[in-house]
Amino acid sequence: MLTKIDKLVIVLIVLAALISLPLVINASSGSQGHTIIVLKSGKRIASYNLNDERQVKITGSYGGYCLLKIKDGQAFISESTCPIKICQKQGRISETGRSIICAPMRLMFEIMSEQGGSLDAVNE
Amino acid sequence: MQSMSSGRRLATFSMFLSLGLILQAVEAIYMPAIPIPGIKLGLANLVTLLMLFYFTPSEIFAHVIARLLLGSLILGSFLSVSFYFSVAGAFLSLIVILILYKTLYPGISLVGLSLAGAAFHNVGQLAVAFWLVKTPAVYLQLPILLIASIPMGLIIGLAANYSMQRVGQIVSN
Repeated sequence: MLTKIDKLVIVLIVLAALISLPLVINASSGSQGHTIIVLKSGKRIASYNLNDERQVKITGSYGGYCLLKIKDGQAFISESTCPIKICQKQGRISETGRSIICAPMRLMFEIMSEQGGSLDAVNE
Repeated sequence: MQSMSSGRRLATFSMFLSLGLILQAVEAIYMPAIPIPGIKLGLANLVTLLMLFYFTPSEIFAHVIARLLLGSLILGSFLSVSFYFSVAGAFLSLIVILILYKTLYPGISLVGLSLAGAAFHNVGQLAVAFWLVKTPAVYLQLPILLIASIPMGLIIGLAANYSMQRVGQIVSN
């Protein structure tokens, strides 16, 4: 039922899939970010350089706090007063566009490529 | 079959259009959902493949446009995100199918056309997805969708072959 060209089409699709695999993995893995910004209820309240080692206590919207730790170009939440600690379980982030969200405190931490990042006047 | 009378031609066109719409609806309602977005059987493409033998490229384009519009109105996906995916996929895949049909048929069978169409349908979808969300991570789906397009394309292509053996005579008589 299959002609030679039909089989060739199948081979070409498989080849395209195999060739594209490393390419897309490469393209989709973000580059190392530069800054981490902190948003509270969607408003930017702080930003930190990822290269500086530090630990900041960030107060959430309804009392309570998140402890944001920056180390070796990576950021993570080391401590939080929220009940189920989803923010801590989101682990370490370092690539541009990655984020950690703490919904109960209305906090969001996002990695930006450079100072200012993609946020514009409207977001701020 | 360019010699069909215009009335018969219109009737046949309408019949194919309703067939396409029914298959699209049947697929949307009865096919089990696959947890990876973008993968589907594409039953309606079977009708597009059959039309290659009876209609001109512009008529097939008209068929696909009408099916996309009416189908999305029936299923309620009109102007939704998935609608744009379908439009891009459908046009890209149709262009590829028409080119291959004109240049390679009968060296390439309906199965090969269906396979190529399925693969390019996914490429078109992803291009739009990337354009909409502007995140390169969208392309991670490409290898998955390409591999998935092989069984889907095979099924539709073989089904189109069998249908052709039966529908073919009905239409041309």
